[in-house]
Amino acid sequence: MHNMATTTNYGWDTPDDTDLVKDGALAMRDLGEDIDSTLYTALGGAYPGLRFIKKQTIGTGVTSVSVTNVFSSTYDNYRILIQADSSSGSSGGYFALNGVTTAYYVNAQYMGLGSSTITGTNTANVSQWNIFYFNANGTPMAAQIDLFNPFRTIRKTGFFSSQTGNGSANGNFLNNTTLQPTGFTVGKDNSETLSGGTIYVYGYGAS
Amino acid sequence: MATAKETAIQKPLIQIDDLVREMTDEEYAFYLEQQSNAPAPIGE
Repeated sequence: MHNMATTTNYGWDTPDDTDLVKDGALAMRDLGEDIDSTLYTALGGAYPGLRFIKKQTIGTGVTSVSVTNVFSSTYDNYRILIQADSSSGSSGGYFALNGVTTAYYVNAQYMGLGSSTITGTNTANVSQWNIFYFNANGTPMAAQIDLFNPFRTIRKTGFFSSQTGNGSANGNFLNNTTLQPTGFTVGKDNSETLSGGTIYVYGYGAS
Repeated sequence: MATAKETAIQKPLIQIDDLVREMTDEEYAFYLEQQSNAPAPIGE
């Protein structure tokens, strides 16, 4: 075996400066195998950690935004970040699984900005998860959501924290169907609109 | 020949991935039905 130089931190094999070109292919293969082995060990397997799936820009004056082709058998659970830069009106906002029209439940606590009063609320057996609460117009609509099992054939659950600039809410939700949605929709009630911002979808990977 | 100009009621805009367009009649009907469960704003 040809003795090659190695890198400083991980000891990857590299050609010496004066190596002959005829061994170049072997040197590349050795280096490639070393990198592959190190990264596989460091990252813990094929789908380790939080993995980026999709970034969706929100348009101007849209009542709803559907993000498609994000849920699959690759991941059981997902982290979703929603930031709409502005919204019209003071109606609420919702999050719904595409193709799932029933059996949505939410338990939540919400507060108005600058208030210490916590109000409990729930919606039961409706057609979307109502998780955004407003009491004034034109403010951002943001949420951090953990969604469990959207694509598995069992009931779906999750947790959310949302902020609309003039209201905040925290809670948990359930969908009592065993359907397999592949995407979701974020929207505003009463035909009000969202403008600008981004939605990010990540999968919780496991080795 | 003069033609009658219809005034269509503009429906909300829906965005599906990068495509933004007006809701179809079906989509709007579904949206309105979905809205029947909307919660009240804070303080109401």
